[in-house]
Formats: sequence, structure tokens, C-alpha cells
Amino acid sequence: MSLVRIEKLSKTFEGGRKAVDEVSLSIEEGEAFGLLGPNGAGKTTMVLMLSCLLRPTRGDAWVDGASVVQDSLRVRRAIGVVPQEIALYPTLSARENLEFWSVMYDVPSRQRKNRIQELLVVVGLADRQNERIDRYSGGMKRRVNIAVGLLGQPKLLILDEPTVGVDPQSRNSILETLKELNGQGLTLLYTSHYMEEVEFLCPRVAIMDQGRVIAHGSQEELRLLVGEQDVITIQLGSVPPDDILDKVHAVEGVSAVHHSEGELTVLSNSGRRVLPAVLDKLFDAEVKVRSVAVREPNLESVFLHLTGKELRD
Amino acid sequence: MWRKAWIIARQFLQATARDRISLLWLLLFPIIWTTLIGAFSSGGDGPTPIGLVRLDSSSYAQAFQDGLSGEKAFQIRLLPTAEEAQNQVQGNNLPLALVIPADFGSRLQRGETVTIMVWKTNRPSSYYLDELINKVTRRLAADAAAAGFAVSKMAERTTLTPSQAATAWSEIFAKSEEGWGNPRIQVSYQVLTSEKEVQVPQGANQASPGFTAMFVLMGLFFGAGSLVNERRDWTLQRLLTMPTLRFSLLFGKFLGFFLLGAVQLILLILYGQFVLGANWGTNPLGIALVSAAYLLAAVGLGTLLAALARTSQQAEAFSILLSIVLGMLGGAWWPVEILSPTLQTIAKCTPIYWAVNGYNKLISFGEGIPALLPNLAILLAIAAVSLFLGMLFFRTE
Amino acid sequence: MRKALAIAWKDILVLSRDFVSFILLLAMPLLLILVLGTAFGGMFVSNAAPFQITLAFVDQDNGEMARLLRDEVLQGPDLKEMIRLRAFASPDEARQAVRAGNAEAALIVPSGFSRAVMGESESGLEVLANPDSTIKAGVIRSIAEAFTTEVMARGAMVRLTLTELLSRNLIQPQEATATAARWVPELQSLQSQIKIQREQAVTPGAQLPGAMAYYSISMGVMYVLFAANTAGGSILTERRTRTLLRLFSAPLERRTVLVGKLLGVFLLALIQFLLVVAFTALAYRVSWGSSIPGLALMILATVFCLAGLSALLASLYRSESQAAAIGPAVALLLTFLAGGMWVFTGGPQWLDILSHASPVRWSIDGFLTLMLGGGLAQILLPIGVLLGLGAVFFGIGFLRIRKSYDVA
Repeated sequence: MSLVRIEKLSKTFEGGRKAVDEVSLSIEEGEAFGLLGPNGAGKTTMVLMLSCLLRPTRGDAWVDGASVVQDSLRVRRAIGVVPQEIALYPTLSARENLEFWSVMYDVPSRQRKNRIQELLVVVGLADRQNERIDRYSGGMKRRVNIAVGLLGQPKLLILDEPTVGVDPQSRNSILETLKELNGQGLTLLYTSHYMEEVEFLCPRVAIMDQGRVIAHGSQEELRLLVGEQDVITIQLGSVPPDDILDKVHAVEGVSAVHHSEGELTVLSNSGRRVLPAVLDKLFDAEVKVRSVAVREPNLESVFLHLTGKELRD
Repeated sequence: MWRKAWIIARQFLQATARDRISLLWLLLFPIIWTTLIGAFSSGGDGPTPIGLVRLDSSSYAQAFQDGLSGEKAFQIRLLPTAEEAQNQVQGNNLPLALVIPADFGSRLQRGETVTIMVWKTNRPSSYYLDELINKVTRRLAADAAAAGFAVSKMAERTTLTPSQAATAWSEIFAKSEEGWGNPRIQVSYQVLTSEKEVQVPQGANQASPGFTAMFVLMGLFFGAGSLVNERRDWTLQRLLTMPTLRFSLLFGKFLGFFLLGAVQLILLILYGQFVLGANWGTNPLGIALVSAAYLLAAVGLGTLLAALARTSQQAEAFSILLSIVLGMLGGAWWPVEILSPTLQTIAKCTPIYWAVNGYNKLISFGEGIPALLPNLAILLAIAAVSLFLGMLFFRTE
Repeated sequence: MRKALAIAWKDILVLSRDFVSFILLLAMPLLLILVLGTAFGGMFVSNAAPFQITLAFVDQDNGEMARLLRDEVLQGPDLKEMIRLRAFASPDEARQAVRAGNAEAALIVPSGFSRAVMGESESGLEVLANPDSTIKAGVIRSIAEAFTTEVMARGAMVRLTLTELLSRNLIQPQEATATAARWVPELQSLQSQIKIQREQAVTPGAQLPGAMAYYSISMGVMYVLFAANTAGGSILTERRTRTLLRLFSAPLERRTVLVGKLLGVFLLALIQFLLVVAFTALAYRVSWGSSIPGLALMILATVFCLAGLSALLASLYRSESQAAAIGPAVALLLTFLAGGMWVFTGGPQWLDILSHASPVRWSIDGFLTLMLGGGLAQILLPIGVLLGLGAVFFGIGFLRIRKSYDVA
């Protein structure tokens, strides 16, 4: 039984705008699931519905067996939310914010102090916990945001674009933290329009555009969907022997080899895996290599292929 | 540099004009408030209703009543019984009620004393009203005294029948009454610094300049609030990163405030002049000078407030109350002279005081521009100091 | 309920964070009370002289009238307290003194005044005013006019009598002056026939305990409106900063959130009102009455009503800037209407009725009764009205906000 089951979830706003159009998905416990799409794709609306903030027009979603439409209180007990905005009280400190929200999330009073301290350590803010949040940097505020989301020991942590406006260092540290938490068993639903983050964090991804899920599956599956393969381009410094093409073709994972004008082109499903073996073969044949270029398909290319648009529009 | 400043100013004005909330406080509320105050202010233009019970139908009682109605400050309300009078006063429907007893005329004629009962409430009754009643009473008593005296002197020298005495009494009483029309002995009253005989600034002439000054200050404090908002919303910082000289930016803001205050001031003055009946028009140049100096001081204080304020919400509530306090101290609500000497000294530190004082000099005392020099000097000093401090404290973080 | 309390407590915490602003804001009504209390202090106590007047007096007449004016009137038993007399030798010196501000007004008796009064010629008293003290100068003017009326009356009396006697041939023209002179003592001892007896029509509750106390009530209550309005605006702040959404996504009912917010408004208003009461009682020595239960109930009822009003207003606002702008306007108007700024001296009845439309008026009435020694029994009506109004306000506010919380 999946932790999250979404069935034909739809949201139509007044005026007829379909923000989410019959989305069906499932997320297993312990997964880190990514929801990728450009601005306006409907990701935030999805998040809002799962957080029980918006009532679906049609369809339903279940978290831990509870329906967001009928049993929203149970759903909210099972989820933690890290919204896009820093929804915290700026003049209170991180600790004070956590103390307040811990009451809201029914953290038993005896455990409160410990839980808060733990979380502050996890997000790396333990030493500045008593300062007012409005004095924090953007990255620090986001980390408090995450800590609040974790207060209730949720089964599912929903994050909506949690790294917008954050400097690269903080962003990396946030992603690392999340990966670690996921490693410890926390299920994540991570929405973003930053492809690199989703690629880093989420083995399974759904791509949304204009309210619909246009593709979903593991990253590999998605890349395969496109049929695009890695292209390795090797500039040779010397003339290769005749049988080199066969030898390279024989490397496992290579689907095609092509040579012309000193440029060797290798097609493969996974360029990174194949490249060392190919290079080996070339070195064995004492072929000089001037430069290597690997063009991998990424989620961006998947999106582009599927919609003709850029993710970052 | 000037063009950029002007653009910034213009943007501010346009934004404010579109913001209905600002308009509420800049124009609508001041107009409502000043009108309400003007309508309700005691000692102002409206007469005070007082109750009168005439239990005597003689012409002397009538004379008394006429004397009272002759005073413009009173509006006589005739009541049937003394009890009714007492009830009305007790019930706070009237501040004052007089009862002329049934034997008023006859006792006067006989040379006896007669008592007029006056019911008062315990609310702050005007010293002024008391004085007026005394004045009417005094005249009437004098008329009676004259009549009685004359008749007694006549009686010393000849015999008078009661009816002859009565007739003579009435005649002399009447003559005495007439005599008040052309008093030989007058009291002249002059406010030093002008030639004309002038009034205490009252009614609309007090309320309009006073509250105009106060609301302009409030308006500029609101402008300060918008600055704080900009600081919070980062538009200010964004502006600062533009290739604009910091000076140009600040000047643009000030210009915007100044013009905003000027527009508000002009509109409120026009309202006061044409709707409330205040007379602003005696010396337009003088009014303009005082206004300009006052606006500068107000802009300065507004800037200082913006520099010190944290959250906009607090700044707005605080600035409204602060303007009211400054207004009360400075003579916007009532003349400064009713305050204790300590408070009066403090009042002289407020820009409102110097503005209202300047306006009064021009409007009510008919003075000229030279008399405004101390006012202008102090207002400009306040402007300079507060602008300086404001810029010093204005942290853009 | 625990969560609602936590929300209210959080609001109090947030407010106390901005401590400087909090104190500054609190200082405002305290200042207002001080200014109003001292400005109107004298006028609230009946028969008290409104103020002191320094008068520059010039006697160029050296006659009987001048002496009368100075000794019997200006420094007579009635006015002695109020008028500080300073004699000057010449009008110019007096003028100087007034201009310099050493005297608030000047009264000049010209030479020949007494003679003119007794005789037929014209004369007059001159009053000079310092422009900053026109009210006080006006009082001097009234006194001067009263005096001239008196003396003219005397003169007129003599003249009229002589005219009558002459016309009836009861005396000869050449006797006139001598006769008049003989009358002088008699004239001087003449008392006015008309006496004014002033009585105060007093009803309990129509009395005023003193300006400081009165304004402590009215400004304190007005401040509660300001404070509650700010607290009410925080409902909108939460909407803007999205903490409201976060609250909704947490495991609690929306209704609990609302109850918590409204409770916060109530508690914040209560704290701030208590501070005003405490401060005025301690620093301004205002007595809020001797009935503790009465005072407590009055405070709770007032805060309940005004917090409710703020909640209702909060439900009407669309943004924080609306809250910050409209709330204070309402507060000022309601306070003015209730007679909290200028005490309405017995205006028309409709005004009295109208003022009762303002909840502030009921508060003022209740607290006044307590201050004058009333107890719980006497304030049941205002308490009832305030609680009733408060319930209505809270009810409507609650329903409206809850509806707006029903996000689609």
C-alpha cells in the first residue's frame, strides 16, 4: 500500500482555469519523489491540495490511508510542510518558533525540548537558535522552515520549492540534509523547477506541465522515454586502426559507433558507464585522444523533448 | 540629477493618489473631523441653549428675557415650570436654566430684592456664560435701582399716589433701559501688535488652521510609513542600487513629501475657507511662507520618524497619536494659553505651535510678515535638525 | 483549547518583541491624559478660578473710580485669587510689559475718568491684550465692562433722578450738584435688587470627578481601541506572511485558529488597558473607585466589547494598511462621539442619545460611576450593554472571518 496515493486529482479555479488536471500518482514509503515542472505547471496547487489547504474539484488523494477530502485532520497529522514562503514569525527566534509550532503539531510537552534541540542540530542552527529570525540569512530561514516541517515526525515531508533565493552553499547543505533524512526513512515529496536538485535528490520523478503529469518514473526511465542516448564525442589525435570500431562497439552498453574526420562518436544508454571502457580500448590501440565530450540527456532535455519548452521559462 | 529626483517625487505622488487609504487620512477624515469639531465646539459660533422659566408676565420679566435673548451667545428655550428646568439641567439637556419668579416685577417695583434661580450642571460651565448672565442682570438691576431711587427722591419732596409712583417707576425704568444703547463710558480692547480690534480665534478660525496643521503633520507621518514599507519591501534598496546618487533619491523623496503636504494643505485650507467659513485670505503670501516652513519641519519630522520606525503598522498608530498629542500641545485643539506654564513651554517646542501661531497672527490678529520671522526661523530650525537626524539614522538595511 | 491559548500567547510574545514601539505607543495615551488633565483641571472643579492673570494696571485718573476699580473690584474678595496686579506709572510702560509678556493684559484708567463718570462727558477704560493670552485678556475685558456698567448705572441713576426732579419742579437747577453730592454715600451702599442664586442640579453620574480622572477613562478606552485594532490587524499579517496557511496545514481545526487569534486580541487589549489603569492610578493618582469587583468587571466588559469591535473591523479589512488606517479613525470618532475629548455641556437631547451609540460612552459612564463611589449594582447597565455589544461584535466578526478562512 503506497504511502501516498493520488487518484485523478483535479483543481479548477473560478473562471475555468484548470490548475491541476486529473493527476494520478503514487509515492511509496521511504521514497524521495520529485515533482518537476516550470512555474505555473500546477506543482504548488498539487502541494496545496495535499496539504489540505485547497479542496480538490475532483478526485482524491490519500496519505497514510487518510483522504485529504474527508479526513484532512488525519492527513495533516501525517504530513510536514515546508512551503515556498518563509511562513514563520520574524520577530521570534528559531527556538521560539519551533516551540510554538511544536504545540500545534501535538508534540508531547515532555518531548518538546529534546525534539527541538535535535532538529536544530539536524538543520545546523543550534548555535543561533535564540536570535530573531528576521536577522537570519535566506538559507538559514529555509532551514528553520524545514525544521518546523519535521516537528511532528511526519511520515511525509512535502517541500515546495524550498531553495528559491538561497545561496549555493546553503542550497547544497539543505539538499544534503534532505538526502540524509530520506536515507533514514523519511518520505519526501519535493517540488521544484530546478532540475539539478530533483536529479540529485529524487530517484523517482513526475514531470508536470499545464496541470498534467506528462511523464513519471525513475530518472533512467524518463531519459529512456525520450529515446535520446548519450553521445560521446572523442577527438582523436591519431589515425585509429581499422578494427577499432568493432572493438568499441563490443563494449557493453554501446549501441553504436561512428567515425569520421578524426572524430569518434559513440552512442550509448549510459555514457558515463561506458566511457572508461571505450577509452581503455583506445589506449590499448594506442590511439591518441585529444578531447572527450559527453552529452547526457537530462531531465531538462526530457522536458524539452516532451513539450518543446524550456523548464526554466 | 534633478530630473531623477523629480521622477521619484512624481511616482510617490501618483502612488499616493491611487491609494484610497492615504486619501482617507489625508483628506476625508480631516474634513469630517474639522467639520464635526467646528459644529460642536463650545464658545464657538453656535449659541448655547439655556432654559428660561418666566413665571412673571410683567414687562420687567420681559425686559429680562429680552436682555438675555439680546446676547448672541444664548439661545433661549422657554420652559413651563421650574421643575422642568431643573429636570432638563439634571438630565444634561441644558447647561443652564433660569427661573424668573412670579413676583419678579412686583418686587422690583416695591424696591424689594428678588432672587433668580439658576440651575447649573457640574460640567465645565463657561465662565463666559456666567459673566453674560451677570451682565444682563446687572443692567436690569441698575434700571430698577434707578427707577426706585428716582421715585424715592421724588417721594421725599412731594406726595405721590401709589399709581403715580408706579407710573413714574415704569417710565424711569424704561428711560434707564434706553440709556444702555449709547454708553458714554466704553471699554476699548486692543490686542497689541495690531491696530484693529480683534477676536479671540474662535470657531472655524481656530479649528481650521489648527486642525489643518495637525492633519498635515499626520499626513507626512503617513508618508514616513510608506518609506518604512518600501524599506521592508526592498523597493527602496532596489532604488539605491540604481545608478542614482543617494542624494538624488533622498531629495526626490523629500520633494514628494513636500508636494504631498502642500497639496493636502491647500485643499484643507480651501475647504476651511469656503465651506467652514474660516477666513484664510488676509495675507496669502504670509500664509504661504508659514506653510512652506511648516511643511519643511513636518517633512523633517516625518523622515526622522521613518528612520526610527520598525514596522509600518506601529508607525501609523503611533504617528496618529503623536500628531494628536502635538496638536493638543501646539494649539490645534484649543488655545495654548489654557495649558499650564510648564506645558506651554513644551508646546513651544512643537512645530504645530509655531505654525498655528503664525496662522493666528495673520488671520486673527492681522499682523504682517515681519511678525512671522520668529515662527519661520524656528520652523526652519526644526526642519534642519530633524532632517539631519533623520538622514543620520536612516538605515537602509 | 490548548492550541488556541498557544496562539494567543504567541501573539502576546510577538507584541512584546517590539518592546520599544510598545512602550512608545503606550506613552501616547498617558501623555494625552496628562495634557488633557492638566489643561482642563481647573474647569472641572466648579467655582474655581480658571487661571491666574497677571494684570498691568495704570491709574492716570487718581480718582474715586480708579480706586474703586482697583481695590474693590480687581483686588476685591472675588477676584483677588485670580488677578495679580502690577501697577505701572504710564500706559507706555504697561504696553511694554504686555508686549514683553510680563503681563498678560493691561488695564488703563485715563485721567478724567472719575469726573466723566459723574458728569456728562465721555471716557473709557483701555484694555490691552497680549496676543498669546487673548482668553485671559477677554476676562479682564469682561470685568472692565462690568465695572463700567456699574458706574454708568450709578451715574445714570443720578442723572435720571435729577431730570425727573427738575422736570417736576421738585428742585431748582442750582441745587442739582449739591443734591447729587449728598446722594453719593447712599448710592454707594445700594445693593443690587436682583440676586442670582446658583444651584447645581446634580444627579449621581452627572458629576465629574476631576479632569485627570475623566480623561484617564476616555483616553484609556480610546487607547484600547487603538491597541485592539493593531492586534486585529495581525490576523491580516498572518495572511500575508502565510503563517496562516501553515496553521491551516497543521493538525488543528480552523475554528481553533480563529478562536486563538481572537483570544489574542482580547488578551492584548486587556493587558494594555490594565497598564493604563495601573499607571494612572500610581503616577497620576487617579482613583478608579473602591469597588474591586466592579472595576474588574468594568475592565473586562470594556475590553470584551472593544476587542469584539476590532475583530469585526478586522473581518472587514482587506489588508494591513486598511487596518492601520481605518481603525484609528473609528477610534477617534467613537471617542469624540462619546464626549471623551470635549465634554458636551448639555447639548440637545439627540446628542446625548447619539453619544450612547458609541460603546465608549457606556464605558465612560460605568467607570465614572465607580469613581464617584458607586458599586457593582450601579454599573450593571453599562456592563450589560458592553457585554451584549461585545458578543454581537465578536459573533459577527467570528462568522465573517471564518467564512473567509474557508479557502476554496
